[in-house]
Amino acid sequence: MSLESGNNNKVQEENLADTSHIREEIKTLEKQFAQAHGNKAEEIEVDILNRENKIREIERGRERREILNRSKKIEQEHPSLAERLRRMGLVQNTMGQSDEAAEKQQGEPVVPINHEELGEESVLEKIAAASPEDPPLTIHPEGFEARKTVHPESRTEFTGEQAAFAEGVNKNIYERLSASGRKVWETMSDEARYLFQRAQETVVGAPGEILGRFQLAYHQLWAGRHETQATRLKAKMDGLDLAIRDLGNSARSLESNVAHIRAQNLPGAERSELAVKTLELSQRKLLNKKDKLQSKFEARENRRNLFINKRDALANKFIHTYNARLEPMESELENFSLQRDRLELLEAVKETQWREQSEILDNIAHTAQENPSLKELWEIVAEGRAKINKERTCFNKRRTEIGGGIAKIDRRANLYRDKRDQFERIKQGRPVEMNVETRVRVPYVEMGPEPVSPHPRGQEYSPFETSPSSGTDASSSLEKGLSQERLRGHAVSEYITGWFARMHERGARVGAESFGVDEARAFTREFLRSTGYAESSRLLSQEIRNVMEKYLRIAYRDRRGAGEVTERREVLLKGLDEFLQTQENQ
Amino acid sequence: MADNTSDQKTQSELSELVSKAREINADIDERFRHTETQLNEIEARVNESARRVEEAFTALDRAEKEAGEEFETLALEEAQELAQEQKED
Repeated sequence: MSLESGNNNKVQEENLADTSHIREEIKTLEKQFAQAHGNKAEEIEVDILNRENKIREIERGRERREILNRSKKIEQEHPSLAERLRRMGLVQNTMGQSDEAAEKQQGEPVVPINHEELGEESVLEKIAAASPEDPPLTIHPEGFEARKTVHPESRTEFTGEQAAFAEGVNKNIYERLSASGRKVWETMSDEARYLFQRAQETVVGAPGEILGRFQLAYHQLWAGRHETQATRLKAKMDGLDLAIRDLGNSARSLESNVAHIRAQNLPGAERSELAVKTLELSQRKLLNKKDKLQSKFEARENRRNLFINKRDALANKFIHTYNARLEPMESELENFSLQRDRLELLEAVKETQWREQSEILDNIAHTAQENPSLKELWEIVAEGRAKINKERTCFNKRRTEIGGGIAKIDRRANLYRDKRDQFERIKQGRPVEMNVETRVRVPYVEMGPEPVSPHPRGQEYSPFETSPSSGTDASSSLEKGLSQERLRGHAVSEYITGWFARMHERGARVGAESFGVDEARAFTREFLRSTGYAESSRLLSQEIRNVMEKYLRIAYRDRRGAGEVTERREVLLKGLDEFLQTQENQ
Repeated sequence: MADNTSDQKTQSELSELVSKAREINADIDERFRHTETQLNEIEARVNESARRVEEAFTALDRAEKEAGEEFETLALEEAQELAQEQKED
């Protein structure tokens, strides 16, 4: 079929807008055909076929023009994407072939695209102009499958399901590959691509992620296929072994028969000898066959080992780099943990301070309430309460912000820790198991507001408690206001001294360290410095327990291999609990 | 005379109470400032660590990407070898 014809093109262009009238003509011809009953049947049939071909040509031309228009639009809106499309092969280099040659190769007519007639500058021409070393380009309507970057000899024509599969999946896979991966992909045969596609499709885990790729290579490409083949070879070899052994047994049996026949001087020994030779020949043939299989099997083994070595080398390289980067990250995360503990300690200390300050103010307010004339005092108390509320609000807001930031980074770091652990498993040569139980890690408790438990008043003093003797006497209520606030809790130094003394009595020790008076003094000094308490600051027993637990977490911070630190912390906390229990019992 | 003495005592105790209330308010202010200083310090350390950790995250992502690409290439080459092997079989 001629491809270049000005007249034809004009007719095509005229008819391009609407082919419906041709279809109408065909219908009319069909009617005439039916009426003619075969008189002019052949002529009409040929005419119909010609017209249908014409429609196909016009419609194919229209499709190509639409593709060109789309390309042009893409190039105008996304010039970099157009370049990428060209590289990916959606835009096909004709390698300077004539249309006839192209037609010949593809086995179907190719409708030429006359850009001048279309009155538009082709996107492909633009791209070609941008790359003068490249020959003119044209879009290949079949996309990736028809790209000519694959050597024709290495290609196999897929049909049916495989063809449909390759058509749809090729593009997706190509887009996900790295630059180096794309280079390999472009040189791959269809069978190899098909293997890779199938393997990637069935791989467990997120596609595109490195772990998925490791798993892909380990399970699908090697274990899944190579090992099956190796097993099959081994089964064949085993079968041959059995046959060879049987033949050997038969030959030996016949040989003994031959010896027996000869010993008896009976006829037919030669015939049996011939049979033995035949058996030996068969045995040799089987042995040769087994040797070949053995070689194949060993070659497979070697290839497998080579692949495993490559895989392990890559995994090792990755783990080495990963660990080198993780180490400084871990030290920063340790700092986060320290800051989080400091924040918690600060919060615990603030809670006691707010409680203490509020109680004193409540106490004074109680007095002011009983003496309404003391307006100034009342105002000072109100101002103090407002200050405490303001501080508490500000503190909570900032604590939430800082704690939230730490938690966010900690969560992200966990992902990297998990990955390192998973790669460690690859390094050990074990298959990657995505469904293994997640390792047990001490869960991070997000910094929410600490539950502020109501401080039980019990028999202790309540600032709003009215004693039977209290009256309107200003002097007595003032006295009470100043003296009773001192009844709540104990001074920090008293707690520490009593606690250490009790531990000393019980002979508690951690390694060479004991808990004597000197140690109590040094401990108190450091505790007051870290928390900001005054020596006389008064704390309730629950408060000292809460604050001390948080303080010890910072003061006796775990370092790698410092098991004694944890032990000392535990001994101290146990001693404190016992001391507080004794105090309560008293 | 006794009333005067009592009034003076009450007045004195009242002044003491007012003074104590003011003292408490001043103490609240002082501790508030101290707390803010501590929070600022903690926040500065957290931010500095966060910056360093972000750098580490970026380096880890880069390392992972490189390893992933290398491994992907290995897998593709292996697919090619296997396909060739199948053909020979």
